[in-house]
Amino acid sequence: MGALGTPLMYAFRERERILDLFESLSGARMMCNYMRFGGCRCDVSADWIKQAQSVVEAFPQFLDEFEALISENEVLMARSQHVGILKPELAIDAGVAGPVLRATGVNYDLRKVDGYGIYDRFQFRVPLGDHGDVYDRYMIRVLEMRESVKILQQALAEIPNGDYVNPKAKLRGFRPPPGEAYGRIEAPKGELGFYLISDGSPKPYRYRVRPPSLINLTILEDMCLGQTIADAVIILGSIDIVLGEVDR
Amino acid sequence: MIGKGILKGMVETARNLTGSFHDTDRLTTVEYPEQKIPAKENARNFPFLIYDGDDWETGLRCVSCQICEKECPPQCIYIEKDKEKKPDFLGKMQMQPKIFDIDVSVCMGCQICVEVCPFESIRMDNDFEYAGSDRFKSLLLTKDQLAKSNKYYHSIHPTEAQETDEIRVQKREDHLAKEKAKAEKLAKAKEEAASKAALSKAETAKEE
Repeated sequence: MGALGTPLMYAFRERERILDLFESLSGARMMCNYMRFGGCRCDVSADWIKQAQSVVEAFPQFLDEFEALISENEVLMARSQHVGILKPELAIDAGVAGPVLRATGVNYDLRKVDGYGIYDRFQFRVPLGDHGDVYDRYMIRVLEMRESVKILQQALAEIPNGDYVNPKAKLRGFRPPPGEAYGRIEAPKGELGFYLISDGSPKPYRYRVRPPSLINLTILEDMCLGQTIADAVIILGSIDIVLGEVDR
Repeated sequence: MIGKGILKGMVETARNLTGSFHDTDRLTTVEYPEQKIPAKENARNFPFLIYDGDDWETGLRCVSCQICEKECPPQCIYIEKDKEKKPDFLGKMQMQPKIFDIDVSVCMGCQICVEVCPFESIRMDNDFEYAGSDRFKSLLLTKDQLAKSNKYYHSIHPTEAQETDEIRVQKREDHLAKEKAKAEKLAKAKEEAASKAALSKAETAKEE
């Protein structure tokens, strides 16, 4: 896409701020290992919450900058509009989820559909696309970042005092009753699902992950039909895959 | 007008360029090998083994219980037990590892081994500068490379190390109290047995 090094580096600068927060709280930048059954691994300090708030406050300003940099860029618009169009019917049939699905105009966000966790307490909107092309997918992600900032501001304001982990929760040797269960969340890439069959022992009888990237990637061929080879690169980029998820 | 969007972007780039001369928010680059960002206290990378005292072989806390080996999600730990035992900090005879290998090319730094270790032996290091010319051998850390002193642990994670030390002091106190109770019980039992024996002796003497 030519000369996209600059916005990439600016985005990395913001990413470092977020990863620094992760590192100072949980110890690792990526492999946080922070969630537990019934809570978290360690408590947050008041200082950390203040840092997180300042990062969240500064983020919309960065988004404005980022959009000024490329949202109206004629080169980017010429390259990405009407490229890699995905029809909503095909997207639903293929089981695509997340920003790729919403860019086609299908209103499907698990945070609203399932209302899992405490998402029903937060005020936010689900941005939807119109054309389902590469530019729409880019725009959806920018708009979702703005919505995420709203969610984070509400969450940080409401963070309660008290135990950070339920003392009654059993962390190890957890024995679920025999049966099957499917849990799903709205991950950045789409619907992340976990299917479990338990036979009553601490280890699952069967365990299957529904990775959003792998399923989103399956429609790459349909989107690339009739396009040039140079477009294939930006279409692949607009699906935004993580290879760790695809490789299974 | 065509080109307006590009100009807008250029203005943004220029703002960042001029800003980088006087604003720390804009200039975030660190000249890495010469300059380093100080490590955060919680930062963790790969596990290491703690030893007490000066000699790593006698002071190694690991008793090769192999819990970490079983719990490790990517299975990067390999342990072989030694036949010879050695005393631990309580004076009990405990097993020790003959081989303790961690393949840091596989390790993902999840800290599960630290959480399950009942002997406060395995802890996380914050050294991230590992490099080797060999793909397999140089990243397979053996027991002698993994062993690091408690002093080192205090220098990298002071609060966590303090907590660990307190746990160990508590353990020692509990152990001593237990030993004392055991000794008292033994002495009492001995006393009782002696008095009983004396009583029965007296009784038999009476009967006669």
